[in-house]
Amino acid sequence: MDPEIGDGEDLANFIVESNKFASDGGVHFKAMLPDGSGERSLFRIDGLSREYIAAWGKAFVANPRDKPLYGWGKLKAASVTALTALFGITLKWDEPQPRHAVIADWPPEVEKRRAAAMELAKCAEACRWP
Amino acid sequence: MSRNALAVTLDHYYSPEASESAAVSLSATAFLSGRERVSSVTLGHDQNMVFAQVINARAAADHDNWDGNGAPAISELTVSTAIGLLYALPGDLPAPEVMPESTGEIAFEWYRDKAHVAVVTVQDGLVRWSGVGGTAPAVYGAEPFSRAIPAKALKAVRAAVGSR
Repeated sequence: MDPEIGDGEDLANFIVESNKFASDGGVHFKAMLPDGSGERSLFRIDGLSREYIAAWGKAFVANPRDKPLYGWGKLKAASVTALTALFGITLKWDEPQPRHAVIADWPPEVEKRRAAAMELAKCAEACRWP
Repeated sequence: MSRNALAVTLDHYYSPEASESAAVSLSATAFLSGRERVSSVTLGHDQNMVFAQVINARAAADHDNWDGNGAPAISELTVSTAIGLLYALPGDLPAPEVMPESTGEIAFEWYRDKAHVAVVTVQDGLVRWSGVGGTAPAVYGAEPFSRAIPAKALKAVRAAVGSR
């Protein structure tokens, strides 16, 4: 894929823990926090069917962790880049894993990371699977 | 009598049975993080429930790597600060959900919807907060705990829960 991620592209944050969906069905901000690697993994899903996206999530996220796929949070790339000035986070192409991207450059302060994750969750559309 | 006064027996903190016994215990002896003895107080129903959640959070995370991913144990001081914070919360706030965090913090979370969320955490003697309240930009901050919830943290919580 083009290493340049367009602002209009749809991105999926695959969710493999049920508590990453909030009680009202929305994406919980914890789903958007960086993981142990210090980044938040995303997949570029522009133009893909729901079934294809789910298959992708199982193949690259759920199955390797031996966890079920509960769904994904879908957000526009622009939702991430709009936060760069406020929080310093950046959106980066991260292949060779196909269609992979990451939200990188998270702030060192945990409270600031949470605030950034809350802003991301605010923009995310919850997509449950199946 | 100060709302900040605690009603806890330290022996309760680390017992697996603590949550139930503490939840129904209406008064006892207490210490703040500075180990300063304060007066006892009668607790309301929600505070007892949240108190039990604090105890449960500690019980779930009382050793290193409690989450299987290398999370540090929640310290005794963090528990004391969490209890101090709990009793510093205004009584008109809805009860938060309390949980241990992989950072070694205890978190108090108020979730109305994805655009109205606030989290106040404690770790040792430090209070941190993050919140979103509608279309306004997210807020965050940190400061040492000094018996009262920081004004900015309380503002973030109120923005999330929709109260003034």
